Amino acid sequence: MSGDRVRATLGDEHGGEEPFARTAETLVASLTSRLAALLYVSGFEAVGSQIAGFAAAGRQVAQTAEGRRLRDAIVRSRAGMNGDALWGALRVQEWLSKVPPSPVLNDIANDLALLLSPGMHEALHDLATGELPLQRVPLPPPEDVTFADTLLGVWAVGRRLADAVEQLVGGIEAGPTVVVAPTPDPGDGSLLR
Amino acid sequence: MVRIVSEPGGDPGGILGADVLALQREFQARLADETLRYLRSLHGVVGPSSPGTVLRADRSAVVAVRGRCGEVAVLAVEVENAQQVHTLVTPMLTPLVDAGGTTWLPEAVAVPATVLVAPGDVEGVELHVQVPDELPDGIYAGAVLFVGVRNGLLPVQVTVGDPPPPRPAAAKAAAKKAAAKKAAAKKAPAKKAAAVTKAPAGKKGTATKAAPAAKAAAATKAAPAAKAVTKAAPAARKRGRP
Repeated sequence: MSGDRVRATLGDEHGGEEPFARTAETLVASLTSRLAALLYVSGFEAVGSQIAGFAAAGRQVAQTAEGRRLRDAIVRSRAGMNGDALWGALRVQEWLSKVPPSPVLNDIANDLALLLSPGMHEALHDLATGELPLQRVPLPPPEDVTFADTLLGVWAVGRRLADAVEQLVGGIEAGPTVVVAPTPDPGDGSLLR
Repeated sequence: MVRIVSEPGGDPGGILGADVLALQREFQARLADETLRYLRSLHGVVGPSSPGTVLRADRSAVVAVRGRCGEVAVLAVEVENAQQVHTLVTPMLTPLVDAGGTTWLPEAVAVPATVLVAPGDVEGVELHVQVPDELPDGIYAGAVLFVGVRNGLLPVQVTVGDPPPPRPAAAKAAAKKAAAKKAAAKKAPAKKAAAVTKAPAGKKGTATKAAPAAKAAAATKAAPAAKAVTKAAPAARKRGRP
């Protein structure tokens, strides 16, 4: 049985003001800023921020029924218990809970949208001529990170990314692909007979 | 107690040395930690922008559907992209809870699981929800979560079976008052009888018997609800396992 359809509108944050609107320019600026930030942050912070971002994604997905079931399964499993022990002994949890989480879900969605944006070339030209303003915004505060949330986030991001890449290229042809090798020319020489 | 070794050729580490070394290590670790935190505070306050997406929905909008046990209920949503670039949409369903407290972890399949919506386009997404056989009748409330979207929760309501319609708040208040008056009226004659103290045993017995009967009725009503919670959880867990 199905009910009536409800419409949900997806819009820009803060009413579409710069730098919050998602346009080709702001997405190129965001990607440029992220790459530039790698020059002055340590590997410790860059990697930690990414992993903390996966944990943040996991916390969001854990609000759903499927996410909650999977998280409970991770916590009860040997992998989950070993992961907690490993992170505790190596103080990984402590490290990750001190770095601001990277908006992994946002970044993936933005990078994919950029690949499909017709205004990307113009934005790249603005970047080359220095007309693209690089925006910086306050970082989110660090949050407690657990192994289960991180693993759940990796699952959610991976699944979403796999589906998105297939749609990006317009889908994959179903069925096997067969390439017939060309038949070699036997030649006219007597030695080959 | 610390023993200081002053003999020539003695172990320079000693007990005092080991303590000092331990303190030194701890100090260095804390110094490194605080230095990193300070450096981070200098250049880590701001970072690259990452424009996001928010859900704009009418506050009163609820995705509602009726379902029967053993069947599939379909929640349908139209997603409109009001941004200037493509948006990635991944809908997932939260746990559903009814007024009695029964929690249902639904087995829901999103069709499609993830969709790239072009700017200005509207795409339909459906969540196919398998209603368990043993789920008690009720109105189950929850939300569709659009993963990666800020404030991305759209309320959902699944009505299973034929539950009694919820009474409006005013009617509930009036019913409570009437029930309280009845209870007060019942107590008043019993009190009068007690005050007389020589009231017939039958009246007192009725009052006394009424209480255990009421308690027994309440216990009987509570037991099926508790069993429903217990029954629902293992079934949901079984379905969740591959």
